[in-house]
Amino acid sequence: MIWVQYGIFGLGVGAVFALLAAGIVLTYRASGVLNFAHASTGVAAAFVNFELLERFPWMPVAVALLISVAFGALLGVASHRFVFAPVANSSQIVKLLVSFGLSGAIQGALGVVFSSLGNPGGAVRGHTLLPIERGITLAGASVPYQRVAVILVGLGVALGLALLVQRTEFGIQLRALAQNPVAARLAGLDTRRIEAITWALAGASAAVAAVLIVPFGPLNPLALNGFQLKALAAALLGGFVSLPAALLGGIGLGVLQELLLGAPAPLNGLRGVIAPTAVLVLLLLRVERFFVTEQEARAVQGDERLFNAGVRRPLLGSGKAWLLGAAVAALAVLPMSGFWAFVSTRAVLIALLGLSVTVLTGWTGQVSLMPGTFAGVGACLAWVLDTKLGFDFVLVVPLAALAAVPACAVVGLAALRLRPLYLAVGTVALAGFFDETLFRQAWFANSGKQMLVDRPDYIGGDHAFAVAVIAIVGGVFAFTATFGRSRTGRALSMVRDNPTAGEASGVNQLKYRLLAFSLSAAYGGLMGALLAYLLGAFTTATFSLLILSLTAFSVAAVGGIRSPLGAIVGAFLFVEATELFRTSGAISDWTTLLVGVGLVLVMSYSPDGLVGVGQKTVGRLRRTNAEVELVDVG
Amino acid sequence: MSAEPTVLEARGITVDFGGIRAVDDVTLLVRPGEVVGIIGPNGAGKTTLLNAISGLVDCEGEVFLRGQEISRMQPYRRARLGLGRTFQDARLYPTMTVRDTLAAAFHASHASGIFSEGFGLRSAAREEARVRDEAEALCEVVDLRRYLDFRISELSFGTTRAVELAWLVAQRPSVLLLDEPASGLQQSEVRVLGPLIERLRGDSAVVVIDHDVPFVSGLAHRLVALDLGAKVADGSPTEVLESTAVIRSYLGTGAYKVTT
Repeated sequence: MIWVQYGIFGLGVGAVFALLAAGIVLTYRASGVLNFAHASTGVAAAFVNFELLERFPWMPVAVALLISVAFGALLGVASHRFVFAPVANSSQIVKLLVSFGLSGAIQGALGVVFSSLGNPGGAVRGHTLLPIERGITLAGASVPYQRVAVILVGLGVALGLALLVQRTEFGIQLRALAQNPVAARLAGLDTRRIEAITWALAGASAAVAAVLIVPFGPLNPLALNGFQLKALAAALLGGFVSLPAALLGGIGLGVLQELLLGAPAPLNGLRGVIAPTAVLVLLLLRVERFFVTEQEARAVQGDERLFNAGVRRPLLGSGKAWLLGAAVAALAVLPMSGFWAFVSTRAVLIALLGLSVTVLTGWTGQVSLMPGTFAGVGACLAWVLDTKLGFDFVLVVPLAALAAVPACAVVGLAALRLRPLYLAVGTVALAGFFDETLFRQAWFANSGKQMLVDRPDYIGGDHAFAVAVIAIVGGVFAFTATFGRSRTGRALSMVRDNPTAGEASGVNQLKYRLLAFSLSAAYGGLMGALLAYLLGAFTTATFSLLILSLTAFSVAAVGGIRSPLGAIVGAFLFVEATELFRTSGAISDWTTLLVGVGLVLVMSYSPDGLVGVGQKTVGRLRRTNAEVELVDVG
Repeated sequence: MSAEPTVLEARGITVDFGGIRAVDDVTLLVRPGEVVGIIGPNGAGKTTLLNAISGLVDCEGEVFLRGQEISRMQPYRRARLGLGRTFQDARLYPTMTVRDTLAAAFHASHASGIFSEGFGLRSAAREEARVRDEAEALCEVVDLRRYLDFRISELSFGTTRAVELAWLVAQRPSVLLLDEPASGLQQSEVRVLGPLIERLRGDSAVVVIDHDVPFVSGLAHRLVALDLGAKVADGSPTEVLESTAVIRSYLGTGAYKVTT
């Protein structure tokens, strides 16, 4: 009867996947936002639920549930009003990055608040609605009451949402809004109200899902990150727009995943990779075309404010200027304490990862959420090549950079077939795939346990190593800035702005897309290998779960995503901020909060980041001076 | 078969879009230095024909450029062999400056690669300086100097058209395919467009499609009329404009042919 047990388990998680997927579909239809922060919204509500029941033991669980669901709805409406409304006219990619930032902001804030409430570590269990120890017996399998509730409530609410969209006046209005927002507004629909209601429903349903499922595992800010990817996979089955397909996808994925638990040895290992595999297969089949018409796809496209709302020409700097800057930086490190030399080296390396985002996203317009994954590949390669095979640093570092390139060729080829939004989703899935496979291998990643990499004697000290890193990274920046100002840089911009016109003037877009992906992978691999030497001891956890990728994106965007200098500025701000919070205890929560908020703010208000602001200010000052001269002459 | 030499030869071009035959067995011959206008009502298949010739849509039939078959080539390869074109929407590169856009037109005629550029080799630097000079010189020709450092998205539509023409001739194509160059322009702008094209094209051949029949017939040596994907007339402008098939197609009868 073990299969019945697994099947019922699967129905439970499947109901939660389905419910989360339904929420993702709703906000995608209403506002074109593929919300990465959806599960985090639910986790926030689950925390509220936990605190209520912890603080007020007399409170009935139903009341606490109601309050936390209301909180979820409120958080949904607020995230639309304050976070997504400012980027309403932007492309889906910009909205996706904003939601990526929001997810970081919510998770970081939860960590900070929760630990300040006296729950350090955050590894507690949520309260159950119904007893988890007792339950009913079904075909020989015992099912706790809480799990019965998960299945019934989860499926019930999800079905209810589907009916709401398919059968009611409100559903018709929502569909009209999704297909042609302008026409819907002209036809007299109160689109703001429809959007607000949709976001409230999405937030509330996320809260229900989270409160139901959280008691089965530890409660922490990252608790539902795995669910987020699976809900995305489920929603993708319906092209992010079809609710019935998303519900089916969720339940199917849940049941399949839990049935694999009982499968024999090689098969049960596949459990972790089903969701990423499903996403990749669905993307390559281009399943969305069965659900989304060309017209609808165009309706949700918007301006690429990332690239056209900022300064006319991003600041690149000449190769000589970068080399000079690197020399000055190397000299500046020498009088520092060992600790600050270490911290500065870390900042320089994060800037290098930021540069990989500059080239791939800022210049070529391709969004890949795997810079952290490539760094992980580089770090593991450093461990394999140096610690296990005994190669020297001088060989290991270039090899690690080069070896990351083939790993990305697949992504680059997929990029040619996929719309930017789907490519971004694909890279998230691929990052998850790497986490579950390569990053757990014994030969490659020491089975996820700690890996040790020793610096060679000639750069063993923190200062010597800092100078070596600054020399290498400075060279990479000089190289990048120089080709960025030339024919290659222009070709990358052409591929971003208008690949058809580029082809018509002799640019092989396949070549330049692959080149951009290869460069970003090589920079990532290089960064990872150097970081491995800097840290000396690390695990793949440093590179998994998109955290480092989020940091790289945020750093590049806050500094200025089209300018190499932006990566430097962003990285140093980030590292300095990290050091400020080191004493507060919740360091990783604070940094996640900061990078999340930074990403959201930059996308909404200053697409060219701090360097862009600086450039504009300098430009204005120069103009004012010029005007003064004119007046003098006149 | 014409015995005269052609610079562009498209034979038996047929394009199907899921059951609808957009272009139906069209043959187009262009002699060196000739200006051919293609006219026809909406949906006649004019733009699709250009897209098939430049390789942007799949088609049946053969395309030869200066005697070389290019039918199976990627669009960028055709461009490098001398097939240049403009687009209906004239988007160009919205976030790039005019200076960079014009420099970008020289992409195919220069060879520096990422390593020679990145490592600052003298050859790459020299080439880059030459590209910059040529781009500026080009700007003088179309009188756009004051817009050099503007983003394309900041320009008026007419100015963007002018930049696009400069961008096109910078590629020194032997055949220019112009997709509705007059659409979206004011009458006053259309009047100067014809002479501008005539001046810029040098001895290149031109295939131009447009709705503005007076504009096209003023520019073209020869007109080709399309209707419902098929060629209905081919000859001197006066002949074609007086042919009954053309008049009928503009008045609009008939329906889309549906292939089985």
